[in-house]
Amino acid sequence: MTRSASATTTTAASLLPDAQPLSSTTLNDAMSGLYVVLSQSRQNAIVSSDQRVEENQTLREKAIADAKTAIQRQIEAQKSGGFWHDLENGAMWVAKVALAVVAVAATVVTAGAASPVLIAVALAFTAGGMIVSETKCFGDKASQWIGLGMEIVGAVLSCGAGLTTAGATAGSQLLATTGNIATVAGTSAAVVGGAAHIEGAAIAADSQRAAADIEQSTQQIERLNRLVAWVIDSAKEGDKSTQRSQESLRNAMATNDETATMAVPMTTMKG
Amino acid sequence: MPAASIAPSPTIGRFPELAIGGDLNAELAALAVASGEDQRIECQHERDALESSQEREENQEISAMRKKADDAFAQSVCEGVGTIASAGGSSGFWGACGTAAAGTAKIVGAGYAGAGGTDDANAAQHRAAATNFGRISSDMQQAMNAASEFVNAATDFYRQSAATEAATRSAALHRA
Repeated sequence: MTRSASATTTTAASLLPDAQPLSSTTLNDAMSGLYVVLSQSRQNAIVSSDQRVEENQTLREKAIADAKTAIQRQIEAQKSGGFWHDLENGAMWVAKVALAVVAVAATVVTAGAASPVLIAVALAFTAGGMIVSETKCFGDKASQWIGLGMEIVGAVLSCGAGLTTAGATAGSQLLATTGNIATVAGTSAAVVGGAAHIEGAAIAADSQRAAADIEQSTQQIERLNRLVAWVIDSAKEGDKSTQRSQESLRNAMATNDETATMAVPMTTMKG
Repeated sequence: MPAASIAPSPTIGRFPELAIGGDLNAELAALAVASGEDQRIECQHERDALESSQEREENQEISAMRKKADDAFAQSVCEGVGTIASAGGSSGFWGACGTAAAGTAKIVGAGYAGAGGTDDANAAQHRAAATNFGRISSDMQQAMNAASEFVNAATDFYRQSAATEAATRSAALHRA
């Protein structure tokens, strides 16, 4: 029986304060014993609250460290993202210019002949128009119109060059070569631009993930702050309650003592 | 469905000595303490449940944000592939293939762009729900504090009552 009873004894931590050896005072006065237990309980509650606050503090520090890491990651992503964005813009600009060059060269070659000077001017106008449109160097509205005008002039000149008969063979060959080079350059630039776009997007996505991590850490910190506030509130409330109980007990003990003190002379008188 | 009782929980059942003690003040204080304690525990449970709901909504918001990042990346990959494919040329077989690939990439990219918009909406919805749960949770915490104050007030009432009774007895003893 004893073995069986000891086998079923629970080993879970007790919520009650640690058992204290009963002193003669405790044995003689139940209210004093109760007072001691209340004090012990109060002390235990404070220690328990301290531990919970410390645990939350550790978690909070970890969350702050995570947030800092995520912020650092985001800053680095923004820095390198800028490079890939610039590369993409540059490559796509080169690709557009190359496309324009190919278009002019094709127009002139199919028309049959061209003056190299006229072709160069046509190309300069076309490319210049694109640059003005892209860079908006004359302001938003003006650049749009100036760029469009230059491109139209370039197109007209390239058609004019196509109608020119002088130096037909040499011009056609030069244009065909220029067109081929522009095609290769444009294709390469487009590939580089596309790859830079993907790489930039990967970095932007990482930046967004870092933003999500920052948000998560912030929420966790706020949650832990709330929990700590609740633990402190609860500890204060419990402490206040225990203090009230102790005060009530003190009053009861005082009353008890007073009554006993008064009862003694009365007993003596009666005796 | 039985109507919810307005009366506090059966306090006398919890403090059987009060039923035969005859101390009306003690009984009243015990009723108030039990009622306040019940309310405090109920508010605490409610607050903890709301806190869990808030945490769940916040986690879902973070998930939506991460999914948005993935969708935006997928969209950009499609755009990049489309750009590379369209660079292949505009005529001939490979040109046609490039144009078809670029078009397909554009369509798939648009799908991801739409998903990104949905992710944004989801994140905002979960954020709003989390804020709402947080506000109610805070209200519950205040109600819990109020319940604790009520319990303290009841205890104070009984202490004062007991002190008055003791003083009365003391005075009676003095007179005797």
